[in-house]
Amino acid sequence: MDNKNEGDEQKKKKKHKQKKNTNKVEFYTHYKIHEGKRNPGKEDLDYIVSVYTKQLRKVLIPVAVTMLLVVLVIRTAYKDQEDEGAFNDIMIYDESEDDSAAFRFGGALLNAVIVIAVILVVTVIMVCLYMNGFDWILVGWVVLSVFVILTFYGLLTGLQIIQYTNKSLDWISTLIIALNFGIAGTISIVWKSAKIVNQIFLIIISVLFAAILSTLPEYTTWILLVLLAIYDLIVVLSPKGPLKMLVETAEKKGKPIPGLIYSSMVWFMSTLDKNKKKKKNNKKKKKREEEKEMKKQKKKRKKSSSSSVSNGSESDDILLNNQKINLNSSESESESEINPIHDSDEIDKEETEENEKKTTNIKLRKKGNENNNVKKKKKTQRNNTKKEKESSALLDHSPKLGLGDFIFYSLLISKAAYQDYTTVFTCFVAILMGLSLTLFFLALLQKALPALPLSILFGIIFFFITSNVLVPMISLVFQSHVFL
Amino acid sequence: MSVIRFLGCLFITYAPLFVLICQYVLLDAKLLIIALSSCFFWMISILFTSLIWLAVPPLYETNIWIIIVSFVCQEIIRYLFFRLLLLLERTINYHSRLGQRQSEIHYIKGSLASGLGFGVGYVLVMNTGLLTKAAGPGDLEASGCSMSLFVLNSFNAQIFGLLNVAWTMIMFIVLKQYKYKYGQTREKQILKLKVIVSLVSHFAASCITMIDNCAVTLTLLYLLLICICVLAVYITFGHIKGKKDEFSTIIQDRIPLGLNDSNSDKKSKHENEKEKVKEKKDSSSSTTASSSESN
Repeated sequence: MDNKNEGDEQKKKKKHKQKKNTNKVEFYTHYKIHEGKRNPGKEDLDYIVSVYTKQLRKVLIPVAVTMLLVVLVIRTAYKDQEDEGAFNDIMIYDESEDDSAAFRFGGALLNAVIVIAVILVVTVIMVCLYMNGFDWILVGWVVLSVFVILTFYGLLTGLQIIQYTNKSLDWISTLIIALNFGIAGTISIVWKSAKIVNQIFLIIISVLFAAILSTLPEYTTWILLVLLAIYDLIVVLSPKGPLKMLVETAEKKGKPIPGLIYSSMVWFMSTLDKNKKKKKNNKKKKKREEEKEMKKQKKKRKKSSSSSVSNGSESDDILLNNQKINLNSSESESESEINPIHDSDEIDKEETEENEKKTTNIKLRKKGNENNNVKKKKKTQRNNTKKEKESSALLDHSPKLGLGDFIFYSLLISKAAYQDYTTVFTCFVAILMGLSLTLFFLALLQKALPALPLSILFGIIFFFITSNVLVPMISLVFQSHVFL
Repeated sequence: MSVIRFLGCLFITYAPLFVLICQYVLLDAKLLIIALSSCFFWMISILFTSLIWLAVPPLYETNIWIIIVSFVCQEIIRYLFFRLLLLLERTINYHSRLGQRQSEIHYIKGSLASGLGFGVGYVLVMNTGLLTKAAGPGDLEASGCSMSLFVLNSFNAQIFGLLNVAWTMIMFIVLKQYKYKYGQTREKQILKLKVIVSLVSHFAASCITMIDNCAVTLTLLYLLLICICVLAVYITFGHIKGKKDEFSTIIQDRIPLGLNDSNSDKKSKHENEKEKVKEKKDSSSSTTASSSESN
């Protein structure tokens, strides 16, 4: 009887607490010493936050590096090339300053809509191809696109940099360098390579691509960015989309996905198909994960004290792995996706690779959370066995960001680079802030989330306000050397 | 020649902030995010001032109105950011386990990081315009001064960057202590004074820059910087000496200074392990002592 009364009292207290706490957060003084969580249903926020903070740095640094490189490239090589690029021939509407603003707006809208429609169509085609087993087409497509970008666009920017710096170089060595560059890039992305080399080539691809896209006329770029953000939102968060179809087909087949297919022609190659193991936040996989957990718990595993160790060893190699841009025949657009995975548990070879390549998706491996809740919230590392080492090198500890995100962030920055350095820095901060917020929500919600919209929203707002309002104000204020 | 000038201006502006960033922010990931978000918020404040400037131009023939508006916006944003940090900390601590307070944003380090964010944002917005021009040919003379405008601007930016750090540290630490002083009106008044001093110094610093003579401005600004930094240091370290007991009763834990920790995330776990080991040793020693006594 006494136990029952105590239990009832505790329940009442808990209910009372929950009722109280809905209104406001308690202070430290109101802590009552009791074991276990306060809210046993929820996961610990501090762990999520700590994981998120450790993962964030690994994502922010490549994004920052790409953006700064794009600024450099544009300030040196592409200075005089605004509104004169190759894509202008493809656009239906040629922007010119003679037309009125409304006409330009309408034409730009038309251009952007056509681009996105093309993206959709190609995505559907790719999904069909993948579902019917024509993976090799996609692989070949990726190889071709990467090679073309690295050789020809790399050559173009290299020549312009040479022109800017007033150096000279003969045609034989340029050919050799460009070809080597392209071939090395494709090999590093499609096949094995050192992780740093892989990352560098992916960054270079995104830099080149963004620099090329920056030559689009002004109105089209802004409208394209906005529409892409909206499109990203819709595609990622819709319950029935090509993304989920791909996931389901991958699960059914049980094969590793050679390349991830998404509507915007972004897809990612797995460097080592067998060893790549990526899990998705799917209900079907939870059972498999649980079974595997049991198996793995039997094995002896080292437990890392914190993710910093594991991140240092494994995060970078997986960060930008398996990500490529797919060039369309007419347009080259790409979107990206973030896949945070913060559990280093082994995954069987039978497991399919994740559709991390799905552009503009952020996913968090739920297994990691489950494991961590079970195992005192500590990340586990691979064992010393060979297989585990190979697979550990491929396991994801850090969030994965698709190349399309890189490209569109750097596109925005490139537009700012044509104006002023102050706009560059403000947009830089805005984009990084948006990215960190999206990762935060990803850590909280543990769902696939689009990476583009928030940061592009912040970036566009900051761009227009700084370039039009802030810079004149500060230049006026500095004439009398006043500091605000 | 111009490259040297550019590099000189660059290092003058960014060196002290860079040192602080390398020492604290780059080593801890939480502080990096705090700094980034504070930079973002500062930029929101300055954009807001620019929008107001756009809306009401005729007032701004003299610079004093822009200064007032920007001062007000910046301080409001600083306070709002403090509230945001408090809210975050409380929600995280609420949803976390009691034994592990890993999410405790050591409020001194957190205030330092946010101050660095504000400072870096300030310097980026104010100084990059002239800094990029410093690399080019030509020179601009500051009015009423023999120094070139680029160098003067860089010195001012350095001072203001550090001052931002100090202002945020003062405000955050004081406001955090403010709540725990129930019914101690005199101490509350002193705390209020400190915050008011920081606000007044902000306004004074921006007004000092209006003076034509650059020698006077620089000397005054450096004196102000020294005073405010001394105040900030006193506030951070002052409570160690006299007021440890108050905090220990309220927060049932050691004081979350975090000044000695380089990686706060790792150390807490090691500390827990060490505590457990110590407890075992104490228990074993006590048992041995009792056994020896009994024998």
